[in-house]
Amino acid sequence: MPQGKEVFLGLNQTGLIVFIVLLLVCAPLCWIPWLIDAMKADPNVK
Amino acid sequence: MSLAGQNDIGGPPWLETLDRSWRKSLALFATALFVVYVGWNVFWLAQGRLAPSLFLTITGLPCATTGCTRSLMAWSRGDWLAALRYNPLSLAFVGLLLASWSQMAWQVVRRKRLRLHPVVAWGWGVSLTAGWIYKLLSDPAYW
Repeated sequence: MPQGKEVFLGLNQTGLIVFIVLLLVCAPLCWIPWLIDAMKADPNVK
Repeated sequence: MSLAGQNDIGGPPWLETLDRSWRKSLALFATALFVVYVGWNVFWLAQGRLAPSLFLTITGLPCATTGCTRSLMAWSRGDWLAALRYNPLSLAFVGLLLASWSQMAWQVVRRKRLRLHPVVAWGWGVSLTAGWIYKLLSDPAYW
């Protein structure tokens, strides 16, 4: 399930950190965080 | 803010400010990095060449997927030894890519929420970590 506050375009903090790491080391795969529930922000958490 | 000066991260107000600043900085850094990455690729593509790995250029170190293109070209020639030396997980990455894309296509067709199956997500995590460790320990001539 999505969890945590939104930090960046629907990602929570974990998702954003993974996005940054992927952008640095393997940019063509940086879309992966948007598909993993644990890295998505919960829309109900403000 | 919630009761008695506490906030939703369970600390004093200054902690909430710090937390908000941290998240904003992280988002700003991600945006800047993305702009740099796009600019880097446009710079090379404008010269009619594929952009080299940004990470390799900055740090001199390979990434988990560095050498995949050369590895796949070696596979297509039947030169399996060179293919394994350039990147032994290139076929695994292609397999994971196909699995991810076909799963997403299926979810789009069925109008379901897009999400990677946990096995595929773990597959990416494990293979990228293993691939990176291998590349860092391997012969720099094949980076």
